[in-house]
Amino acid sequence: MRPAVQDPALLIMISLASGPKHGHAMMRDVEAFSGAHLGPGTLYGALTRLDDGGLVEPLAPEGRRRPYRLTPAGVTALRARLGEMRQALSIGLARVAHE
Amino acid sequence: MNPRLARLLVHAYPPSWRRRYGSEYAALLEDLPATLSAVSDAVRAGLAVRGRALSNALLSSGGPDVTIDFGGWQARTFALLAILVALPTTIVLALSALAYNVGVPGMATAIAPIQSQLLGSKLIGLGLMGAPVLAFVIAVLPVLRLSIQREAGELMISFAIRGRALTLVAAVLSLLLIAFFAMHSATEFLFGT
Repeated sequence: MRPAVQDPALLIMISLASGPKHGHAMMRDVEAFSGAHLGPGTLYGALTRLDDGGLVEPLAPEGRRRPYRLTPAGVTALRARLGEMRQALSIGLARVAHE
Repeated sequence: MNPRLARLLVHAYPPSWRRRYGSEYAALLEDLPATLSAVSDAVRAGLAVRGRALSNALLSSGGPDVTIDFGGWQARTFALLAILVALPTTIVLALSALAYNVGVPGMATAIAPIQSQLLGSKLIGLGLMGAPVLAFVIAVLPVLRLSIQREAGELMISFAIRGRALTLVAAVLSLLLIAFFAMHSATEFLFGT
């Protein structure tokens, strides 16, 4: 079965909500909590867009690996997005409960 | 993943992206196994970023300049690979020329069974004809440089090839083979021989 959440940017933001991570750690974390496997190109494509949009920011590199963290704007955007999803989820659950 | 393969995959991205993310992205690729899905995902994403950069430059008046430049990366290796790809076609054509054009005694009889076996299969025939085109692309792609820049509101497109001796050899060999097949096909079409 395909993972329910497949938006790479959203998955990255959820992953970074538990603390800064570098690329490989994000991939492992995303796979663990959602079952979605992000390819390296997909991961960095979404990470680049989030970085350009000011929703995540790079930290000082650790060797060649560079961790990223959510910015305050990123936390706000993630909260809003999850709120929308919660609303859709509760409506969906309420509707199937009457079936 | 092998560091060389990782570096090659990083080169699928434009230089501006590589300057910003190249080192950390290469480190990530090296941490991953070289599966088909990882490699194809990296190539697809890299080409998508190049495509976006190119369309930005073409569509927006104040867009960034774009340079598609493989920087001559591993040009010698790719030239050798191109020569290897073109080698079977070269050998078949050279033996045919020696047998039928030069008329080396006994050569025609010697190569006739091999030729009939090779050319009896459409797939092998197509492979022999397609190999020079593939060889040309393999040889020339790493030394290509396409630059799109804006100067005084005008779009300046420049195209260059960074010459390497071995690349030249591979490219000329491929072009000669392509020219031979083109002439051969034209002769067959015009004179039916």
